[in-house]
Amino acid sequence: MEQVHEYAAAETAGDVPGIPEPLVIGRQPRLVSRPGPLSAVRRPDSEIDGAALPGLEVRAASLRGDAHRYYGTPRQDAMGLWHDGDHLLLACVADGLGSKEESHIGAATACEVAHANLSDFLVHAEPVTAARYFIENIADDINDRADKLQVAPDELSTTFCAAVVEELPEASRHRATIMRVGDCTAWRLHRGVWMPCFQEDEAEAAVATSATRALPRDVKHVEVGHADLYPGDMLLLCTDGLAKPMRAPQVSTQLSDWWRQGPPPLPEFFWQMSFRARTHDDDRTAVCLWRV
Amino acid sequence: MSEQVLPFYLVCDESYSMQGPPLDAINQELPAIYQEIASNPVVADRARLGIIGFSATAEVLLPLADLNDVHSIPQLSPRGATNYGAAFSLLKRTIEQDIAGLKQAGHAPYRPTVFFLTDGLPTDDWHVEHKNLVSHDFRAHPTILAFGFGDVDPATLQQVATFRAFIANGDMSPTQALREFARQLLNSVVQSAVASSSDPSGNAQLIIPDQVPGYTVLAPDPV
Repeated sequence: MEQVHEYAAAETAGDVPGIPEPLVIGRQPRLVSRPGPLSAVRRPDSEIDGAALPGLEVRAASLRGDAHRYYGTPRQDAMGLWHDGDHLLLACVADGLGSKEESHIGAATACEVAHANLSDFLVHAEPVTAARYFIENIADDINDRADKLQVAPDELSTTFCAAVVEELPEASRHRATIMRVGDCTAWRLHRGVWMPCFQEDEAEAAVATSATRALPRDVKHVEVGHADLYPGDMLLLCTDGLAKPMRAPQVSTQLSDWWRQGPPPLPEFFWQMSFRARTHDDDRTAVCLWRV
Repeated sequence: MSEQVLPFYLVCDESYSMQGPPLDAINQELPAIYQEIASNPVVADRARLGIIGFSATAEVLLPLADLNDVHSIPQLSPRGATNYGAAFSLLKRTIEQDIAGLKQAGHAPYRPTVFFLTDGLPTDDWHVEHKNLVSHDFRAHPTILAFGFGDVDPATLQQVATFRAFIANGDMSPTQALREFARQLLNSVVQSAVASSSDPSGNAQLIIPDQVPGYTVLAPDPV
């Protein structure tokens, strides 16, 4: 018996392909990509999620940035997914500000409480009004959380972007209403081409800045976008840790080459999201919704 | 591939009044600052370092460079008068060219940070050149931190700085304090910050403790 067992193990080992190192796009970073010290605040280094829903296939991942891994500080990005069991999906991403030590709590809170506030979105027919109520309620919840923790609300500062995706019964499309505060963003991938859901204007700035609008403070700075998803389309929600490297054509093209094919298996999606690009060492979170 | 670049300039007073311990301290410190930047890969990936020396005239001693491409650090030697105006003019032209070059290459340059190392005893009238450099009309205007060495005139140092001025108080070697400072500064610049309503351009992104061991910290004069 023992011999047979050893033989089988050897054969299996020979057949298993190794997982390649993350793809490096552009120059090799000096910063290595490895987990680093355990952060004192315990949050998992990364999260992977996914779902197969009527007409939609979901892949989602939130990865601790290599800078946070190097310093042993926690991932400040968060994400959330919620489905009503019928025709409505809520997806969200959030990025706690690096300058605030408790901001990971703000990001996580925003994603946790979002679905409980969805009814405020749904009762208002006009999308901008609906988005404002929805975001205000989430900001209130973040303020409550700050109260309980006895910290100033600004300490929980987080950007936030959510999409409410509804299956429209009369057509072959899904309609997404997307709302955000701060520099998270959303793109629709249509036949391999990235179509922005929000107007991005930073390219014109004299110098780059890491400053951004954030909840709970900037509750009045809600932006609303829309996307109609037809079969083959994909909606991407992401934090700036992915949005910033995506400004480079090498990165946006690579991602569209991967993702125009349809949803990859979960481990492959995680590997793709782990690409390395010099100076782009921030936490990186993406929720991808493929219309299938 | 687009990178997030942090331009970082050391502007060093090498006039005769700096001769002796002040200039020796700076010469000793330049390689240490470079080492400090290079030893942290998060910072080293982003930082580009340039060095400008000035006395009666100003010159670029080290053009803004990726740390991989810096093979030796120039040494300063005492010469001439203390012409701040020449230093600020050259710094402005250099920043303009560097930012344009970085953008041309597809990079995203952040607001430049300047460490201005001096004894604070200029021999010229420099206020017009300084105003041109720090004016918000100059869209890539740098954040200036002034470090005093030797017999410093605090008032001058406060006028030069746009963020903080520091005078070595003798508790700690200026070199040690400066190195600690460079580390904290570079770490803080790269973190995302809240955009304040009054200043959405993000100048609030420097997070520096008000107490730096070895230094007396002075607020800048309001412009």
